[in-house]
Amino acid sequence: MGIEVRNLSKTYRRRRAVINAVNDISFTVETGSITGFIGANGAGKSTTIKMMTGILTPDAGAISIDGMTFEKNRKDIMRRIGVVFGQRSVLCWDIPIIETFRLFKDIYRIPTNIYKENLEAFSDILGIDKTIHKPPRQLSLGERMKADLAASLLYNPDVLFLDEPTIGIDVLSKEKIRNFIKKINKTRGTTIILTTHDMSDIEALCENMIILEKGAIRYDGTLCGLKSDAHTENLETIVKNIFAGEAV
Amino acid sequence: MNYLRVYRRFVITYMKGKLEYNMSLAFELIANTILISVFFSGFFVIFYNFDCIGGWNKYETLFMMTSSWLTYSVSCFFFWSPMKDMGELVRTGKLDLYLCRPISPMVYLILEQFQYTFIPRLTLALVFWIYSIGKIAILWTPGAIIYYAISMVSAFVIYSSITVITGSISFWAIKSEAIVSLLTNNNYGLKNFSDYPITIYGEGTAVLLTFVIPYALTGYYPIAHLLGKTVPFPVAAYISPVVALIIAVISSVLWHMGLRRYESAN
Amino acid sequence: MRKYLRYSYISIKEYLAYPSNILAELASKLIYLFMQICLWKALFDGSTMHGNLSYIDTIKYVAAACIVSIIIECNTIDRMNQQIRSGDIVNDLLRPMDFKLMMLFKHFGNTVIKSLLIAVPTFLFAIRLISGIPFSTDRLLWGLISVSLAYAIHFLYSLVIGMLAFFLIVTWPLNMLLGAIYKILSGIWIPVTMFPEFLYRINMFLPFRAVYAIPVSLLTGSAGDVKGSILCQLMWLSVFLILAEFVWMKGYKKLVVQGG
Repeated sequence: MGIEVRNLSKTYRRRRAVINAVNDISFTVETGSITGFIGANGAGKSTTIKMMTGILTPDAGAISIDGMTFEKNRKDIMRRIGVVFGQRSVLCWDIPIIETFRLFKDIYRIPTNIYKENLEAFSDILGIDKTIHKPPRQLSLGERMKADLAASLLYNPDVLFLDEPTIGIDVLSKEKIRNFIKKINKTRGTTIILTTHDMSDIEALCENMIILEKGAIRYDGTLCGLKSDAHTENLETIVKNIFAGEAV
Repeated sequence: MNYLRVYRRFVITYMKGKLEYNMSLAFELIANTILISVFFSGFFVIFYNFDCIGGWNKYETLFMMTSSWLTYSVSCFFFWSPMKDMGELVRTGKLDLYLCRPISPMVYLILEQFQYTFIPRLTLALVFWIYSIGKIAILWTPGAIIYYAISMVSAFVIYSSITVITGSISFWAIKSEAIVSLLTNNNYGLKNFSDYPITIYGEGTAVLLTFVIPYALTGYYPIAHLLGKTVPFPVAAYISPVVALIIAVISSVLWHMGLRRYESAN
Repeated sequence: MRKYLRYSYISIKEYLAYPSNILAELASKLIYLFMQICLWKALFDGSTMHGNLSYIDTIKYVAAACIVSIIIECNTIDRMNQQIRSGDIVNDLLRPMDFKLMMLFKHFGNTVIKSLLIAVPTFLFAIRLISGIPFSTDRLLWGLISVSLAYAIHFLYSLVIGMLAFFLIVTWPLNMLLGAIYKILSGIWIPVTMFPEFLYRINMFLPFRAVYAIPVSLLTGSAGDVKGSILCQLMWLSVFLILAEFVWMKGYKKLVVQGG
């Protein structure tokens, strides 16, 4: 179960150049785990995530989420995954956040009791009850991200994809967001997939790690395992070395 | 999901939200009202000096123009804004967020907005439609009413399809806004030609507006048929549903092709 | 002086950076002109006179108005709005130069390149459409002077509206509103001689006709009172000069005090 990726490949054609963004990679993400994806810019991180969320179609290979594929069960998968982009908001820009929540309630057919339950729970932990009646353009980045998170979790997805969720956010909000993610993972067993450049995010959240470099997987395993393999507690050093081209 | 119920409720809350947080909404509506009023003023100034154009008198021309403006405004409520933004959505990659939902991106784009700035256009068009309908020589038999109704629906489909096509161009062209506005702009675009009888423009333009970019089918041909006017291509009076269907299919195909391209190249 | 001309040069370069936009702009002018000429041809329906309106005069007026509009058109309002929204305006305000002059030279560069690339082809197209030249040779000099005055008036008007954004933040509804009134009252669309009496009278007190109705009718030779028209323009020019200076002082103070 969980997410299975087999022999995934994606090539971009930019004018005359052919770029192998992702080159025949395979991995498995266990249900209920928190996995971090790290890679330098251009390593294939975003491309992989986009393929896993159905935004991009792979050139080769297969992705199955809980046994379903995008070709056969696209809408079902969409109903069960949540996506949060750090740099783009899912919320309608000009109107109060609560209205986007209501829109999601209809799109995802969330039963009213679950909807209310989640709203309350999220208000508590994330403190969004103060901002819920404001439009995103009146909010700070941190408040907006919390609202984005809440929106994407309203319908209790099985998998939550987070693409650079803490970028540009203040330290206090970062901590609240991380705690929230951990809590969701623990209480609901939501599988979390996180891409980030922030090592402290990884340290705080991830059990598992996948490191991508030049379209290939350089490491696929646990965070602890990575540290013991490299004989150091300093994650940043490890990652820097990998990006510089040294073996793990 | 009952789309209509959702949409209706969303529109109401969308408007309420806009009103609470954005007083410039009132200003936008006023500005648009004045804009459209000025256009009609110009129209009446022209007809203050002249009695008819191309064999059509003031009321006939007005009725034709408002008929097409009615369907155009309604079409714009749904399609104008999303398609206008397509260029930016594609360029910045914001479209991604519309692709990972359990409803089609087009539906989502339409559901999350309501282009209220067309209300003045709709209202004034309605006012002058009512004003002119009593003064023209159309015998409103049941047949005529059905014919007119079908023409209006076809016009809606034609306008919406052309709008979707112009939005779809963004999947291929980078700076598509210029070409788009040529076709659809309310002041300088091709669309304005259909406000007056197309016979005044010469044969080439008549062919263009009848068979290529069928703006003439949205008002000119149906009203001309009802009024018994001579038209360049008499067959055009009967083909608007068919043409609407064809152009709807083309727009759908183009849209999906564009989406697929976006999903594979991004 | 040279540093101001630099801005004109940059304006030209910016304009040339988007050839597809230039083509689209040219196409839209030609389409618009074609549509207008067809409209008036159809309205006159073959007769040379309709009441006291002359077909030839009307056609020439419409064509000339279109060409003149290419030269007088000013995008300073949009430019300033954009700059204020993005905050870039601060850069321009910090320069050791007169802000208003800077805007003028930017606009002027735009005008020069547009006259070459768009006005000339449109002029040639107009000749073909109306089978003649839209201008008349007597009073041509006065016509050109009038166009220059109109250019200045329209620029100052745009500057004032643009500067209102210092106070209003969002000015596009205001632009739309004024733009619409401008379109009908300035004579850029319908010759003001066609206005019903009451509208014609009201228009006499407004500045808009000084931008198109006056210069275009002088250029096409259909204007009566040359001296009166020029005086009228000079008067409005002074009004807008003073207004611009006034709004600038108020606006600049507000900007500096409030920190943008």
